[in-house]
Amino acid sequence: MLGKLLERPRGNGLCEELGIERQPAMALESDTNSDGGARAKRRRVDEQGIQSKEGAEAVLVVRISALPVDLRQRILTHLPLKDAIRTAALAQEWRDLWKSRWAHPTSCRDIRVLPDDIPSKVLRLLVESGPRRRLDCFSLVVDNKKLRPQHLKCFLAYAAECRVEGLHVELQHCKPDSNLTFHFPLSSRRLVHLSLRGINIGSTFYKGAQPFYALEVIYLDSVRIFPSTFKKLMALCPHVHTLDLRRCHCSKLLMAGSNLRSITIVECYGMVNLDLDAVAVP
Amino acid sequence: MAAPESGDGNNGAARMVTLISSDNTRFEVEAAAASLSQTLQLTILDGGGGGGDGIPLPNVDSATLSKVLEYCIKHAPAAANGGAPNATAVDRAELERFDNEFVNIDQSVLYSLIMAAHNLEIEGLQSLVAKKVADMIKGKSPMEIRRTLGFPDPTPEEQAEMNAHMLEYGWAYE
Repeated sequence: MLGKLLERPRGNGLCEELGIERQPAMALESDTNSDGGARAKRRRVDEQGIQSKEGAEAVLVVRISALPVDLRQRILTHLPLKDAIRTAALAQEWRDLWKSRWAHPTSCRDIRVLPDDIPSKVLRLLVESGPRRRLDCFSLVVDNKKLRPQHLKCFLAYAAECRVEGLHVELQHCKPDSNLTFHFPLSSRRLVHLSLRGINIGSTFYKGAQPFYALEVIYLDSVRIFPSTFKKLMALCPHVHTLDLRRCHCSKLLMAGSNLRSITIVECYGMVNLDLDAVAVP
Repeated sequence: MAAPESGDGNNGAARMVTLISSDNTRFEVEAAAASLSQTLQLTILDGGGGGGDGIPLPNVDSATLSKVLEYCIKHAPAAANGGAPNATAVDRAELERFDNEFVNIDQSVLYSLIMAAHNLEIEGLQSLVAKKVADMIKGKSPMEIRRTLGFPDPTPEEQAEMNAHMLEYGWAYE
């Protein structure tokens, strides 16, 4: 990568026209020369009258990070969620920036319904909080026995309307025979990352459902799902490459998917059928 | 390039304004082109920049300004048509080709353009350069992004922070 950058022709019409001599980036030089040497060279060129253009690309390093926040956010709005998250690894200035890339009110919504909350009130606050804006992540964590299937449905419909790419739904202390159900086919079409905990996955709405081409990662923890539903779900997700099942009833679940690269099964009950022919070998 | 029929009032069509870069180079352009800049538009509407006066732009050097104006001149006719609802597909394709070619530039020039587009408030150019940087980031690993954008290799502390983040958002790094 560095080599490529070095070879790239640096001249451009403007600079040649204006007689500005361009020079290799500082950072790249340091790779090949000793630090002192590189610096000395740069100083020498400066004295020849390059003025503020010195070490242009190396300075850019600091510069792209130093762009005003709104400009960096603007860059992030052109990126899919995954790439936006990766920019957090660039520098401190980028760490949490991706979370606010859709400007208002925030690109991630964390909803917690606590034991003393009234679910319908939390829900009303959410749906009346303004027009639906695109959201990166939606997380719903419920520790409340008063949550009704209708509430859950509305929360999830909200997430789908906001075209979320990352969805986390977690029901704490939910009984296995609870009628709180997650209907996968009603999810956002942009879903990339799905994480469910302590919830049942419903077996309806699969008929005629369109595939979720963006979906890549599925985490299921303490989730109940029928083998036949699981099969239908996987059939709707042709690009899933990572499947992570923990504390699930896995009996007779068939793990198959042409793009699956990683399958994790931890503390699950029952036998899992792994169809290796239908799993991509890394 | 066809001059727009109606510009700002009666001196619209072929009115020229002079812009002066930070290094004192003078650029004479049509008012319609310079008006793509929200910042300049007000001054120009006020009658500034004409005659021998010129509008000083202390934040933009001549290399960057000439690049910015290249963009403005190309986009002015379409902008004058109100975002060009009646533009032909050919016109739009030509503008797109121009845009792609336009941002195929050195990173330092790109950086100067980002700042200039911001300072001059040229909406189309701001989007164009932001999208260019985004394209440089898209589909790359954090290390590749760092290298593409010319960041130095991370310090041990930065590496530790990176690792922690990758652990938290592992799925985004697969």
